[in-house]
Amino acid sequence: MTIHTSIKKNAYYDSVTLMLLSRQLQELAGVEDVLVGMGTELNLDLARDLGLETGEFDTLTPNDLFIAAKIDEAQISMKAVEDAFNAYLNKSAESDSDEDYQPPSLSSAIQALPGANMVLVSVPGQYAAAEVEDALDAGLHVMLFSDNVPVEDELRLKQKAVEKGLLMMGPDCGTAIINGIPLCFANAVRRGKIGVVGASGTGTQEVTVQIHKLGEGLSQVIGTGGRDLKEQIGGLMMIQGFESLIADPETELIVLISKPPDPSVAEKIYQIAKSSPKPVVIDFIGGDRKAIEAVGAIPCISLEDAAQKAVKLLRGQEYEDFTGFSLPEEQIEQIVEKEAAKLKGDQTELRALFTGGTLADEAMKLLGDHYEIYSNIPLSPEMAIENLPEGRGHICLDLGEDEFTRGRPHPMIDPQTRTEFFESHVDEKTAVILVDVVLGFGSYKDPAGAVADSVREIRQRLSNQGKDVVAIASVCGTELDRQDLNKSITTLEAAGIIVLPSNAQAVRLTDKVMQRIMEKGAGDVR
Amino acid sequence: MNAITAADDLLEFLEDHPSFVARVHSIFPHAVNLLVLEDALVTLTNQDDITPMGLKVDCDTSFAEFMQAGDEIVLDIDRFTAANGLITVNLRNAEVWETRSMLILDALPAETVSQTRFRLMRWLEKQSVQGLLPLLPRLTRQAMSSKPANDNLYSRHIADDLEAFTQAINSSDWEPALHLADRLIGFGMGSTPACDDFLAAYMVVLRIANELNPARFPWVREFNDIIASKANKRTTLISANMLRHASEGRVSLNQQQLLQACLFKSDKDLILLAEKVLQHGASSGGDFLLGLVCALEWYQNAITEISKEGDKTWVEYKRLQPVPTL
Amino acid sequence: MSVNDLFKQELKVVNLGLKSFYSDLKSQGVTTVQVNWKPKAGGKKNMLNLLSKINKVKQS
Repeated sequence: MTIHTSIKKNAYYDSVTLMLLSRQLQELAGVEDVLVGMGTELNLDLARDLGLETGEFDTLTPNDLFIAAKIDEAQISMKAVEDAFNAYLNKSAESDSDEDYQPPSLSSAIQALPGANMVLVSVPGQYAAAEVEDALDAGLHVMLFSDNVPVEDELRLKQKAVEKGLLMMGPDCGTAIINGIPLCFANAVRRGKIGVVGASGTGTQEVTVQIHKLGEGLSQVIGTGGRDLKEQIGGLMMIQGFESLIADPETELIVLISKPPDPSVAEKIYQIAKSSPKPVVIDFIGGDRKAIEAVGAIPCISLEDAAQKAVKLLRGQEYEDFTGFSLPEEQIEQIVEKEAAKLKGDQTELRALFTGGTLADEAMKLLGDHYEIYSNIPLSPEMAIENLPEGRGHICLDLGEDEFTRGRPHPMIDPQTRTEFFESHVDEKTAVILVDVVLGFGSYKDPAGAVADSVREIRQRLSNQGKDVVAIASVCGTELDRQDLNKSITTLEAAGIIVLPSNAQAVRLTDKVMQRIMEKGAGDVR
Repeated sequence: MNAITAADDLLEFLEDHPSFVARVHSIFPHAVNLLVLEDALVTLTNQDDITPMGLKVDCDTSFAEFMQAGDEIVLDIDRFTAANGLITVNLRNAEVWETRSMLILDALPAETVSQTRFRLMRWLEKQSVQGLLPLLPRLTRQAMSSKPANDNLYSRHIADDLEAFTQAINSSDWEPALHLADRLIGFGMGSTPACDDFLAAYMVVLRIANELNPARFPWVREFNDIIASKANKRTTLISANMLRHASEGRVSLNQQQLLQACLFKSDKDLILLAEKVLQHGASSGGDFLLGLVCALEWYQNAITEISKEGDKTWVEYKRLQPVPTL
Repeated sequence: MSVNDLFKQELKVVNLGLKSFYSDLKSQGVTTVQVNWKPKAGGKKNMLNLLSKINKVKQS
C-alpha cells in the first residue's frame, strides 16, 4: 500500500460532482482509502488522521482540491486514479449540456417550446394570477392547480379565457385529462367516447376510474376548479367545457360533476343540457333531481352511479339508480356479520379519514343523515369537528382541506398526515375505520402500503387490549396506474382491510356494519 | 443577456465602484463567480438560487461557452460588459432583491418557532442522507426511526465537535463555542465545506436574534465577525464569502425565504421552501438545514427566556425597536 | 386557438411549479418544459428605483 496526493490548484468543481466523484474513486479496484476535499486545514487534519498525508500537504491552500489516496500499486496506479478523476469530470461536463434546460420564466419557456399550447400552474396562490394572465395573453390554455387565488382574479381570468376561446381550469383544479394525457392528479384510463367536465378533483377521478372499470373510455376530462359554479363566477368554465364537448366529434356522451351549483348557474347549465344533441349525465352531488330530469338529463345518486349510468346509456342499455353492491347480497351479509363480530360492546365509533375531498363529501352525504358525524366538512354547523365532545363521537375528516395542509403536503402526495391521525384518533372505542386510497399521477408511490401499515399498527395496539377493529377501504385507481390497482388491493387485504370497488359501496358497507353493531345492542351507535 | 434579479448589496457595491474591472474567478454549470476587490465575489446564475452580491440572469446556455477563468468584465450599475466583447449583461430591468428584507416583518413567538422547527425536523429525517445529515438525530437528541445511518467519513469524524458546538451555543457560552468553531471552519466535503454551511445557518439565526434584541445578545456581532475573519484564511474563497454574508444576516434567496417562514410571518409553504434549500449543491442544502434546525433550538429557548423574565415580551420589544438600517 | 382546436393538437405543456407534475408528463412521453420559477424578489422596487439609483450615481 502506498499513499499519494494529487492536487488541482484553484479548483472549482460543484459539490454534486465532487461527491459523486469521491464515491466513484472509492470503488475502483485497488483503492483502499481515498479522501477528496478542499485543502482547508481541517480537511488536511482529517487526511492526516486517516494516514493519508504526504509531503505535498504543505503546499495546499484552501482553494486547492486534493485527492489523497492509499492504493495497492499492484492493482492500480495513482495516475489511473487521476485519469478516472479527469474522465469523470469530462463526462459530467458533457452531460450538463444534455441536462434538461429549465428556463427561468414563462416567456422564455414559451420561446423554448414552440407549439406550446398548455401551461400548468402550481406556484403559490399570490403569484399565480399574474402567471395565468401572461399565459392567456400568449394564447395558451391554462390548468391552474394553485389555490388561494382571489375570486376577483378568477373571474377576470376566466372572462378573458372565454373571450379568447381558451381553457382556464382552476383555481384549485387538481384533475384533468386532455387528449388522453392525465394532468396533475389523474388516473391512467383508456381513451373513449365519454367526456367529463368536473368541478371536483377526486370526484372526477372516481368517475373516470369507474368508467374505465366498466370497459368504456374517456374522450376529454376538463376541470373547472372548485369555485366555478358559484354565482360570482357563473359557471364560466363548466359552460365552456360543456359546449366544447358538445362540439367534439370524439365525444358521444357528457358527464357533469360538481357540488350543487348556485341556482342561477344551475339554470344556465340546465338550459344547455336541454338543447344538447348528446346525452348528458349530471351528478350535482346531492342536487335537485327533478330539475335535472325536467331538461332531459340524467341525475345520479353517487359518483359510481354517474359512471354506471353513463356507460349504460352509451351502450343503449336500461339504467337505474345503483344503490347496492357488486358482490351478491348474501356475501355482503356474511362480511357484515363476520366484521361486526370482531368488535366488543364498547366499540361504537366511526373514524373516516379521507384524502380526497369529494370522496369525503360523498361519505358525509350518504352517512350524515343516519349518524351524528363530527367533521371539518359538517352537514350542519353544530357538527363541526371543534364541537366534538371530549373526543367522543363519530368522526369523518377531509384531510386535504386547508387546515390540515398548511406547511405540509396534501395527504394524497404524502401519507404522513393521515398516518398521524390514525395514531391519534383511532382508539379502543373505534368500531369502523373508513378510508379512500387514491392512486394515479400525482399521488404517493404506495398509498395502499401506508394505509396497510397504519391499520396493522392499530390492530396490534388494540390486540394488546384483546380488541380488534373493522377497516373498510375503496381504491380509486386502475391497473394502468403506476401504483397498480390489483397490487394495492392485495396489500390492503393482507392487513385485514375490506376493499370495495367504489367509494359509494365502501360507505354503504360501513353503514351496514354500523347498523349491525347497533342491532347487537352494543351501545348507542347514534 | 438580461438580469432578472439583482441583490441590493451588489447594487450598492456598483454604485460605490463605477466601472469596476472584475475577473472571472470560477465557472460552474449554472453559475459564474467574478472576483472583485481582494477576496469578494459577485455571482451570476441562470438556474441556481441567487446569492448576496448576486445576479439572476436569463442566459439559456452554460456560462462556460463564453467565459473562462481570468477574463475581465467591467461592472456598471446598468450593465456588465466583457472585455472580450462576447457578452453584456443588461441590469436595467432587474427586480431588486432585498437581502435583509425579512427583518422588517413581525417576529413569531417561541411556541410557533418550536412547532415549525419540529415540523422541519420530521421532514428532514425522511430525506436521503448526505453530508452532515446523518448527524441529525444526534444533534437534536431525537430517537430516530429505523432508517439506517448511511453516514460517511466526514460526518463521523466531526460528530463530537458539532455536538459540542451546538451544546455550547445552547448554553450561550459563546467563547467556548468560538473555540469549537475553530474545529469546524473549512471542514467537510464540497467546495463550500459542509461545516461552513452548517455554521452559516447558525450565524444568520444569531444575527437575526441580535438585530431583534441587541441588548440581549451583544456577543453575536463579535462572534460572527470572528468566525467570518477566521474563514478568510481557513476555507475556500467561495465559502468565506458565504460566511461573511451570513455573519451580516444575508443568505441566498431560498434560504432567506425559509428563514422568513421559520421566524417571521409568512404565508408560504414551509416544506416547499425547505425542499428548495435542500436541492442546493450535493449536501450544502442539507448541511445548512441541519445547522438551521440546531440553531432554531437555541433561538426558541433564547426568546422563551426573555418572555419568562417578565420583560416586555419578544414581539412587544421588537415593535419598539427602530427598523435596523442596512 | 379554441378548446376544440386544442383537442386536435399534440399537447405541449409548460410547467410552472411542482416538479412532480413535470416528471409525470415526461414519463408519459409528453413534450414539456419545467420553468425554474422563482417569485419576483421584493416585488416592490423595480426599474423606477434602479433608474433613480443610476441618476444618483451620475450626479455625484
